[in-house]
Amino acid sequence: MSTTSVAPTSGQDYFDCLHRLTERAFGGKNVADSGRGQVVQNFFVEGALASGATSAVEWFQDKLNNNYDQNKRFMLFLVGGPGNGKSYVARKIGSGLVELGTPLINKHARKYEFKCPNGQKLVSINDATIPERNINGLRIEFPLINNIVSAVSANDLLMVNVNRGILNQELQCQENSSEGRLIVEWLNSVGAINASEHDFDGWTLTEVETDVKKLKESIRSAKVSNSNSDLEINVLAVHLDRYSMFETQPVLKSCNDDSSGFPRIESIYKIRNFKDRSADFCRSTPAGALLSSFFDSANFKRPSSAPAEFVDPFAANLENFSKESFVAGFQNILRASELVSAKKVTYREMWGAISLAVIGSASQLAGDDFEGWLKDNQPAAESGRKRLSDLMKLANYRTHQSIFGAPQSGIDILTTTFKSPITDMTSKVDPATDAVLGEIAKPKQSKGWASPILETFQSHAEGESVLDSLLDLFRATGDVAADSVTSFDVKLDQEVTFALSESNEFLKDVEKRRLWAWYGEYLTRLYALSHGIPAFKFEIQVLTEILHNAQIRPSLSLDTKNAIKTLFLPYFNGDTTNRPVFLPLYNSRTEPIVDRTETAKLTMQTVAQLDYLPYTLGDSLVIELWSHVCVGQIVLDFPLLREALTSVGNFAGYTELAASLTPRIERLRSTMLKSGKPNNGYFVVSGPQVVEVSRG
Amino acid sequence: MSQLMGDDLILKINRPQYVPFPELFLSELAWRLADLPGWTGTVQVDGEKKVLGLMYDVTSKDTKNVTFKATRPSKTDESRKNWISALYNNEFRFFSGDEEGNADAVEDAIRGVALDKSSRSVATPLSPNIALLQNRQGGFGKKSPIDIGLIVEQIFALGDPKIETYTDGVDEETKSATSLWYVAMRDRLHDDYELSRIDRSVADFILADEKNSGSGKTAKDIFPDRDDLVKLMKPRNEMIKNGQVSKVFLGEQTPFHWMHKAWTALNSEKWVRALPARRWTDWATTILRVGFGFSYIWDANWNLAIAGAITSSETEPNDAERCLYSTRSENQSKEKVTVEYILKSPRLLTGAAMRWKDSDNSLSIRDVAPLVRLTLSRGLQIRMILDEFIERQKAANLTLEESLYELYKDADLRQRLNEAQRDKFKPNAKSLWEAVKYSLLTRSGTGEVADFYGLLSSRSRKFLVIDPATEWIAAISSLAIDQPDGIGDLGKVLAELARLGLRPSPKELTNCLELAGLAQSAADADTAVLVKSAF
Repeated sequence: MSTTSVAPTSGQDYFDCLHRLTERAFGGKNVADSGRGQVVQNFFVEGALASGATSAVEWFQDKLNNNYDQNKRFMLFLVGGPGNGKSYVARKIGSGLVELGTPLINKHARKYEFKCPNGQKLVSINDATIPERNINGLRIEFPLINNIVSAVSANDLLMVNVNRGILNQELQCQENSSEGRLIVEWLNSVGAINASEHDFDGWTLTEVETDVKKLKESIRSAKVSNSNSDLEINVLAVHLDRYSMFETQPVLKSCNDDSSGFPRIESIYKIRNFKDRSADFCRSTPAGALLSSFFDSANFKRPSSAPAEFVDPFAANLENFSKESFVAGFQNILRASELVSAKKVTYREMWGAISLAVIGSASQLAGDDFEGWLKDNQPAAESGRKRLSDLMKLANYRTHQSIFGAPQSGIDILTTTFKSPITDMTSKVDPATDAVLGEIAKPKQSKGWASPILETFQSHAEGESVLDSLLDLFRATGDVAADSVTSFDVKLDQEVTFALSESNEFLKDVEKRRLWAWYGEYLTRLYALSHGIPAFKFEIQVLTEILHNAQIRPSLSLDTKNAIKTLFLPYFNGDTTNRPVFLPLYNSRTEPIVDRTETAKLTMQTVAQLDYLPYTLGDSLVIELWSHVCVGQIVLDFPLLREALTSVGNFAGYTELAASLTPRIERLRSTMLKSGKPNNGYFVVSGPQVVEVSRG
Repeated sequence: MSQLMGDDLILKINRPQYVPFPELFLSELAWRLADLPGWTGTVQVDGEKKVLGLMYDVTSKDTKNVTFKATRPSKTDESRKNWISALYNNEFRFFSGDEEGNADAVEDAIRGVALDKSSRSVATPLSPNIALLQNRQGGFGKKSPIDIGLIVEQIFALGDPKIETYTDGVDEETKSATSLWYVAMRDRLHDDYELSRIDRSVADFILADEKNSGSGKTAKDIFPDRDDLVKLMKPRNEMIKNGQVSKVFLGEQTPFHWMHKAWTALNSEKWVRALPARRWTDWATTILRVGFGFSYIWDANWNLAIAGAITSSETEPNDAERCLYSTRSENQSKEKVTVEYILKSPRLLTGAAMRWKDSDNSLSIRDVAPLVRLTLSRGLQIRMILDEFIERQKAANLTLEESLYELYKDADLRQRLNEAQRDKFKPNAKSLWEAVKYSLLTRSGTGEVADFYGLLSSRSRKFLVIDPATEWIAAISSLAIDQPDGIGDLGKVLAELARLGLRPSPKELTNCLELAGLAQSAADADTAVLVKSAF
């Protein structure tokens, strides 16, 4: 049974395609899936399911179609936040099955029930965040645990979409032991679990995977058996937001070693060094495949020929997305924004990003008539203040402006900003905020990239076109950025050049200066996006290098270790041989003593030899500090790494985030001051002198 | 619920003053238990009786009524000698170097946050004996400053669901903020050898002081034994005997209950073990600062809710029953105006102590001062009117409901209550406003003395905005989760803040938690965002 109207297989024409994009823009009418109805191939092409979910779906569909031992139960849990495709998976599984009971009128409901081909009932908890109510309308407490227990007792197949917050809430509320709680506890755990601690009322949970490394992967399976009966619950869980869709996903293989047939991990999730993210690599990722299919001209219709004077920023954007290098650059910017903000781009956000990249904030303005809107917003024909203003307004819809949430400026209009969940992430990597001198082709000379733009602006002569100079340079050096320059940009450049020439006075000096700055940022973003260069490119490269290496072996390079050590535990400069770290014992600030002190300080010396052992959990980088036992743990996110990379020698530097990072850094240090933690004794540091305090 | 009387309309929390040093909160708990006559009360100075004001460091001149005494060991040759001897006797040995310098390091380690331009400074009350190195007379520089320890106990009691079972007999230690703290301190000292020998050294040093040296006491005599419930509960029992504690539990949505919960949690073994000594002390001080500040705002709102019930056009007297009835309830049937009715008033049930606006709003929108000042001032005027009425009706021994009825019937009082709800800020509320404001204000934002535990921030001199310091967020959210190294969700933190009357948007609170490195908003929606405990 389907409640979803079947959409056209692709956009009917160019303007129809633009309009269709508004459905998936932020706040659009089709951003959330109901989890029920037929799966149809439509304009919004299907992306590969995240984090190994395809194998999980196959596994579960096998259980719907075949009869297994009556004592076996099968459950599939998709864990993750909204927008990751959980409901889409539910719809895929329920597609073709007969829905039981009276179909609900509400588009989104907590639970659907279906009759399976094998005769069993499938209970699909599509959205565990929606409260469950009993027949009297009263809210049921800890409904998920109840759902699990009911499915076990009724021999139903169970599929659940749930986020970790709900798992946590259920565990906090429900203290009674049950197989339901045991499973929820397992779902909520990361890494190995201690079987003896997870044994309730005869129910024992056994993790199927025995390789500890793989326990941190996105897909896990467990068997829950009862010593008092022959019941065995087979649970498969996929953590859908563990991995980035811009990276190589884990590979799974079906396993038929027993009737459970859980898919097993063949190769794990791999994080690519940011500097090695080539166009070929980008195309191979789930996001790359989605973008290629979506922007295929058979799917996204190109504009029919228009008069040469017709100005269309959306067509310019589409022209950019026809180039593989630009698509790769677009992906790399989104990937960088994930790393910097420590968030994942979900499918919902990916569609929002695509919509933003093609139609910008016009989704709110153009309504269902993009053609009419464009005609109404064509720039004045004659060069001058009005035409410049009109063109600048349209320029705000160019991909490289809208995707970073760049301020929407123009002459005679108030500067505004369009914010969305995706620009919250991408604005942190806006290349215009971090244009470092240097050339991409000469990485050994400098870490920067922006010299072509900055130097062209500097050497720009009166009345000359900046864009022409840049294009000459790009063509001379074979720079792919040339391919990203469209006829829209040329028209804009002509008008900017005209406005900035001394002979024209329709702009005041202050307006010319603002235009100059705005245009500089415009071209900087255009150039950076065509190469996929984010702000903090160097630091992002270091982060991905650490992540990449940590996936292979738990060790840090000497440089990285020193940088982290200097940030967290700089040593006392008075003893460069032993490099002791002294933490003031009871000060309000836990700032290690680095230099000679003005007054005598009572301190604790941390253990001398600390091992820094990194491990990854998805894209998170955790560094454990070990000295026989783990004495502390650092979640090294991007802001902390940036702070660490400013260190020089034994001196920590500061970024603009220092004020908020300092308490976090001091929190780790003060953990080491807890009684019972290993240390190297207590000392008085007085000026350059260090005196040990002994007992009795 | 036992029969409530007219005087129960007035919550029994002593009136506050601005507490100049937050460390005094813990010190005053210590002084409630300490038996140290030499450092208590008055002394003769040049033939005049003056109160002894203890401070760790003080350069202030004596006032008319207070003589200051610096308790920092290095202040005089004699005290330094005593200090070195105390350290030696408690097994402090330094392998080499200047003995005095090393002794100075220990006294410096317990020095509290020193504010610029202040002529007085405190010790960080890391342990019971260190906490005795200052008292409220020294901190306020007054002969009879507010009894901070008593106020803490009053607030703690008001938040205890078992308050109605309080008696002045021997009771569990969990029924007193002071004894909970003291027992937690003894547990810490048991596990923390370094702090323990500093505590013992300080005790010996205190007893070697000229004012205490003749007492014949040993270090063990200053505080009661941790198992001696009679002594531990004595100050609390005196509070009950003196009628200084309310008898009514006001529900779980109050700052009193928040403080009771947070204090009980922090003093539990798991948190004492989880936090290093200094952090624990900072968190303890934070709870008391927050509980203190918000309790007075709630008290003002309580008074306003009472006045509202008496002056509402939806309330009418019932002469036969000598009580008030309201028709406000949903089913339009009349409802008796009782404590429960007052607690259901929107002002108390869902109102905000101060409006926590998202930080992307303008400063003028985020400014909390105008509303809080007015609330406190109006609440105070109403409290004074209620106080006057209760004093007048003392002999009549009216129940709470009868009192509300009589207040309604007295046209003059009713009129005054009406006006008080619309009054402008009155000068007599200045002290109350300052007490609340400074208990929550971040003292210093930068440098060695940075205060990471404030909630409010002054901006552009004109505005007072909610801008929680990172460790304020860390402490409050971790205690909301109440599981060291544990994970909770945003909903839990929001629920605890709601007890204080703080209702930030999930987005704003998530931002604060992200900034403190305790949450990531990406994966889970709304109140299901996962929040990590800071320790």
